[in-house]
Amino acid sequence: MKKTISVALTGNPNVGKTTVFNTITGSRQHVGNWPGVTVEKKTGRCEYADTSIEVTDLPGTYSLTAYSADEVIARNFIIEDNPDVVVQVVDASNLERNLYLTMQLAELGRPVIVALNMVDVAEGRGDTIDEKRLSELLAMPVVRTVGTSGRGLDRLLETIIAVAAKGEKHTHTIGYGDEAEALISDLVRILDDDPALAGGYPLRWLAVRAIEGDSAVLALIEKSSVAGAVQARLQQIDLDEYEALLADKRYEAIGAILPQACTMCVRKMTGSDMIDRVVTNKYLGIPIFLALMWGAFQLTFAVAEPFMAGIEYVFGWLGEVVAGSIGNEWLASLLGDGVIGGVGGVFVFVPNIFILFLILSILEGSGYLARAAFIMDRLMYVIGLPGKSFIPMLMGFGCNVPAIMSTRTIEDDRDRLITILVNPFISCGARLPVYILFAGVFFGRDAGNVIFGLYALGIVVAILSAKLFRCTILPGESSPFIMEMPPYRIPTIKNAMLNMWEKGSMYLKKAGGIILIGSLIVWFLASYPAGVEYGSEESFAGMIGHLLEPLVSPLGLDWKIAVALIFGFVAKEIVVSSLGVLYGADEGSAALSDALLADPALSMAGALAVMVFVLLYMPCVATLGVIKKETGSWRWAGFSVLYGLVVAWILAFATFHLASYFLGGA
Amino acid sequence: MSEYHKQLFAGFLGLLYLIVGVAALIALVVPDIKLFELFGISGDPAMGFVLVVIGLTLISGFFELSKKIHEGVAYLHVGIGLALVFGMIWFLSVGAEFATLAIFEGEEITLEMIREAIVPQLYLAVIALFGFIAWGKEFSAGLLRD
Amino acid sequence: MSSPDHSPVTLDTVISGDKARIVGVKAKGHLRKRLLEMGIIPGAIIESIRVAPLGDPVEFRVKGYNLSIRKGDAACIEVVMEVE
Repeated sequence: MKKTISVALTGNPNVGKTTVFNTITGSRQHVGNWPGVTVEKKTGRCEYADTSIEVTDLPGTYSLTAYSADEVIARNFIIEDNPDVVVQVVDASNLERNLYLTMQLAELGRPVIVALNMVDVAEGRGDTIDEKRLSELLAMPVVRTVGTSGRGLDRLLETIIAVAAKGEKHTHTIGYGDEAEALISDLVRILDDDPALAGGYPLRWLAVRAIEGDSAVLALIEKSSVAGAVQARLQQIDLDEYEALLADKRYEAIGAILPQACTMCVRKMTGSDMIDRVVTNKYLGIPIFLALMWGAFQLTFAVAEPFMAGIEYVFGWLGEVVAGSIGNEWLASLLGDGVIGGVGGVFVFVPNIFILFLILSILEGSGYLARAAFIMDRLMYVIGLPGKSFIPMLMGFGCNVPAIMSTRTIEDDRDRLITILVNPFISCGARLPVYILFAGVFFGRDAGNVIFGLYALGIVVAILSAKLFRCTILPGESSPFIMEMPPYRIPTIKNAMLNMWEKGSMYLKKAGGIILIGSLIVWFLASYPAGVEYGSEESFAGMIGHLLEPLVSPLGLDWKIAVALIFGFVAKEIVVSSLGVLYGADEGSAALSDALLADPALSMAGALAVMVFVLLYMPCVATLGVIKKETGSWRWAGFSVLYGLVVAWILAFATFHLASYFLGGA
Repeated sequence: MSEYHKQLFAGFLGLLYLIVGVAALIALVVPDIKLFELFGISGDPAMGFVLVVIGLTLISGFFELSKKIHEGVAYLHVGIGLALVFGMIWFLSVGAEFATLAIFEGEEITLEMIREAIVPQLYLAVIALFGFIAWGKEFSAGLLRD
Repeated sequence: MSSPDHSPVTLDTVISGDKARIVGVKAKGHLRKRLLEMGIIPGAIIESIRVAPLGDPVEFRVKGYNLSIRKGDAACIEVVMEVE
């Protein structure tokens, strides 16, 4: 029987960890979520020398404190899932900071292998690294690798197998100096009295973490029988001072190791610095950023066009074929309008999402994303969001679905949640046909200004909502902005493609079902009770429209608009075509414009109210699907619907009455 | 010597980008300028902005290099990079538009349409490409591979 | 080699291109941990590289790599100027 070895792959962000993972496992990857959080869990398999190696790619972290979800996951996996071997991918061109994590890993007691990645870069710069000496000093195996070319990966796999076969725990840890060591050994003695703690965790690690004020470890000790004794010992010292002392000692230990194992190892002015002088230049930095964002926007939406048209064409054709070949009218409508229309509605966003993620992974892989955040941070800080929130906001003008998915680049959960929740207020492309219809019909020459005003209103509402959320439901400062500025790199096509494929298929798997169900519900409301014309006054949708009339009449609207708004839930541009059905006029033709103008129930003020309402009311079903998926709960999806409806109603009400007052007609 | 060539190239290409960029912005206000049409320049705020940004980046490189600041080459490289990226974006967008028209809307792509698609963003990128061929290698050697 | 003026200043006042030695990290909680583990520890040499176009944040070089910190956070870090 084949042996299976479990390996945890860890390391700092931007060290080429993903490349190593992709090269080892190839396409034999599985992407899921860690239980309870929205952080991706990637596992992959590889067969080597009659051994099956199961690799888990842990989130990239700088340390193993328990502040961010990423760090908790990485730490818990190593402690609780007990992988046979832990491999830390280390950027050989930035050893000093990378080894900080190594120092912490050593304390966890699992066998650790250091994969010295990007040695080619480091040595190309004139560093020489003696990995044998480094291995002796760290008391762990060190293997040179070049993730992109795959060089050294065989050695790495052989080392993994050899280390796993030995099955020894790692015992060598650094000393923290007499004073701290006395405290640590006191704590270890106290902790050892509780058999539950002594069995499960490396005690030295628990002691160190307790001194550093690790909330998860303190909570664990709180529940144990030795809680009082630990508390009493910790109260005798100045914890802040000790915390700095421990960090200092780790860096001191690294400082003692480095000169023995590495010559040079200091950075000079590199190509990266030179590029940064240009792209973060005081005057050119922002214009270049805006130009690139416009380019990204253009690519995402223009290049997707033929693919989207193709998908619509195929699904339209399928719908017709199905409707034509099935005798039963009910079944034909269910399959044609409901199922195939719904599936088409899911697939139509695939080109957008694929292209957007290709661009994002190129921007991230090249290192430019960190510069974008650096440039925009000041502006976004005013709103209470980090610089990285800017890109999702901008993408929202195209489509909120890929925009919300692009919030994955934001590390802090609360920042990310706020960015997601305000995104639907950014006026996406699908709302434009509605504005064009109403603004064109009622405002003629001023239509452009009206539409511009709507876009501006959306931005203002998004900003104010972000402020509001920050003050109420998601309080606190935006997370400290301490971000590494990684050196620029040429992103590899393989990584970019794999990333694009991952995100794209994730959307189909997770959000697709929700969108499909939402579309089917609307189809049902439009086609029942049996025998009514699709979406007419007699259908359930029509009835609901009548039912909702008292709610929309203060906004100067009647039941027909209410029905159209219900259909707008599927996709906002459908508001136009369903108005066509309701007014008995072909969509887009002059007939609908005339019918709207002739409708005594609609005034200029009412038209403004409709547009404001469509801008703000609720995310479309696809957006709702990704909100559910990205936040991991229906709670936030439901919240965004409710909040949107309330804001839309209030602002549409205000718009209607103000406009009636100024424009005169009601 | 080579530095001097780079300086000239940055100045020359930067000036071209700046001129067509400003022209695209002028065309927004003044319609139907025959000379502009000849060079495929039409009023487009976003495109005008992008062209001006590329132009200014390259010209900054020219000035730094003329002051013998070696780091000025970074402006040249970034400028060339931007020129190529936006040339490519335009090429892909127009290709996508033509594909949509030809396949799904049954329209024929006429010579006139192709002529109209040849805009500064595209033909200036071809000039930038020469710069890339000449100095691209030395530039990317300074970057790391992921 | 030592600086002529030993009085500590805060990191946000260090101008681009200047080097300083960190003498104290006055931050608390999450911010403090983050700073310490990223190598912002007493004794380390830190160099101010450049300021973002809108005046904040600032890019520094420490421990052989670059990182950016907001001025407000940098104000919690005490340094003494280094003279080359």
